Amino acid sequence: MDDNTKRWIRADRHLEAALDLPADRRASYVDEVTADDPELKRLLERLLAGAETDSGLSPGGVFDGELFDGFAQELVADDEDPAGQVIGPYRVLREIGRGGTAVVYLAETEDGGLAALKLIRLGLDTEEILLRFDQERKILARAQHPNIAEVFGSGVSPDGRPYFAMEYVDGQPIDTYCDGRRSTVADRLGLFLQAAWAVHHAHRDRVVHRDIKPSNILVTEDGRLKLLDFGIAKLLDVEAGRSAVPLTRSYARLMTPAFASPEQILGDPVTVATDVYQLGILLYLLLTSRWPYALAKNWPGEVVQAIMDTEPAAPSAAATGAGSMPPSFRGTPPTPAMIAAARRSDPDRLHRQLQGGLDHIALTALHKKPQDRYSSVARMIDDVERHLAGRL
Amino acid sequence: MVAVDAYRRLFQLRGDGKIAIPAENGRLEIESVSELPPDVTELLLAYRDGDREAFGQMLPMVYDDLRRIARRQLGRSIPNQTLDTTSLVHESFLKMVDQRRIDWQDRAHFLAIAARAMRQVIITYARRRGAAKRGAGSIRETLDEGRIAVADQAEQLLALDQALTKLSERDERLVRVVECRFFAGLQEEETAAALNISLRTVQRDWMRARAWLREELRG
Repeated sequence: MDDNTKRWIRADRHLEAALDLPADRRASYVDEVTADDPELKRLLERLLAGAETDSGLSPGGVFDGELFDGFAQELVADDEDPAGQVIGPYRVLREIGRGGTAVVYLAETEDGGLAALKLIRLGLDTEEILLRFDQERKILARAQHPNIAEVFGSGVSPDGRPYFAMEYVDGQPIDTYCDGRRSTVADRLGLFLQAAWAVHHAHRDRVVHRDIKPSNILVTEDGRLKLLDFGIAKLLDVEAGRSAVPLTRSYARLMTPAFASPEQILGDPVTVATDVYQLGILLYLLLTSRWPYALAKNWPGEVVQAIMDTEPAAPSAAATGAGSMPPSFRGTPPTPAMIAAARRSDPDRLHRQLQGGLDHIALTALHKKPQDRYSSVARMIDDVERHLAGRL
Repeated sequence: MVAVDAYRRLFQLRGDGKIAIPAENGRLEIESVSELPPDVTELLLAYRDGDREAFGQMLPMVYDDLRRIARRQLGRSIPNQTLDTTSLVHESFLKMVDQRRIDWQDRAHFLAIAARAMRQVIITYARRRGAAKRGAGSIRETLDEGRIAVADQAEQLLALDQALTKLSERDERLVRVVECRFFAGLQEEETAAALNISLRTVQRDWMRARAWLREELRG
């Protein structure tokens, strides 16, 4: 214990003792215990004076004054229509997305091009959120790949919030896109490969995405795919290929339950194998419209249990049998006939299409233990390509 | 509408809890169904059980909740009406929390977390206002008096926040008491229940905290 701490504790103990005495006996107590220490005496006298004064630090004191009035007004102010706002070289057209901590605006550049502006919501510019936001910007800016949304630039908005501008992707989530077009299994695999290449590219930059899911993978009308939202992505250690900062349990709760991996739920370190797992869930969903694990009651605890302990059903069986739906699913599950029809197939044929190679690929990616999965996304891509070429 | 129903069933699956349904014009529209947000009750319970990171994740939700309560109280037409800060603090969390999963002790404890959240959001606001003043720099004399008063308050509040952070290394409980009393305006009895300590301890801690904070700010 250093001297400052010892001194603090000693003074605090006397302060406490003095405060327990009637007010008129405190001064004599201080005299008594500090007879040989004039410095401590002066400190205690100041502390007692501070303890007894009511001004400034009063109950509810923060609510007094103009600063709080301003805060209250900001609380009440509706998020005004952003249209027409000028942020850096961009003119805002409208809001196109909103998360817990950030909003995304569609904006126009000076030469008439479009961009998506992501900025921190007013009032939520806390240090922690600013840090995470800045990390996302850096990760995106570094990952240059045709299947990853490009960052155009960044800056600070007129009201003092950081923003970055990225490529505006006018597309649909990958699963909606496929179902809407009744994409065949082969077409779905083609899109899956584009997503996997983007994730693989990020890994080469030592970035794990760890939030791979359809709403983060958009496909444009002309079939180009973009991986978005590196909001909870993480930089890996160069050496170990592991997340530099281990995730805590509470981070697992930020995950979309259907896509959370066992190690994310446990709060264990996230590695490239986590993205392999999430790509496995994505592949499963694209192939079958189902979730790999059986749920009886759809309780939060049960979902965790299923991810940790339940062995995944083979895609060929899930798509053409009773199967299970993702935890967030509400409504009537699609029948095998509907699932097959959405892939321009029928249940028997779909069963044959998935059995063997694709069953093997999905189940390999979904192993509970990270070390049992594909050791890299490249290996998973290899297997999918070999399957498409008729060699798996 | 049989066809639409069939479509609805066919397209209702999406991995993120949304369903895609065909609109009149034949295009698919996404309809949100219970998007399973991070569970506030679970986060609160985790924070109670010592998971510090849970607090940062609750903050955006708490902020939205404060906005909702404040907006309901004031409406948009009367901006100068005073906010009922007591109910602002007392009501936050209540609607977001699954009442069946918590008991009265948890509820009391949540007041302490609401107090903590108030500290965080007000300090964030103060930081922005303080920065505006520093940014003004040499043109300070052109600012009107009201803005100077606000900026000075902001700086005082930021200094207090720093002193609290320092104090928390010495005695965390003192800081909790200040959050409940100063940042949330809780009564002594409420503070005692929220922090699960005796009334006498609240009274003594409040005085100790004031003594040490004044000493630090005297600096």
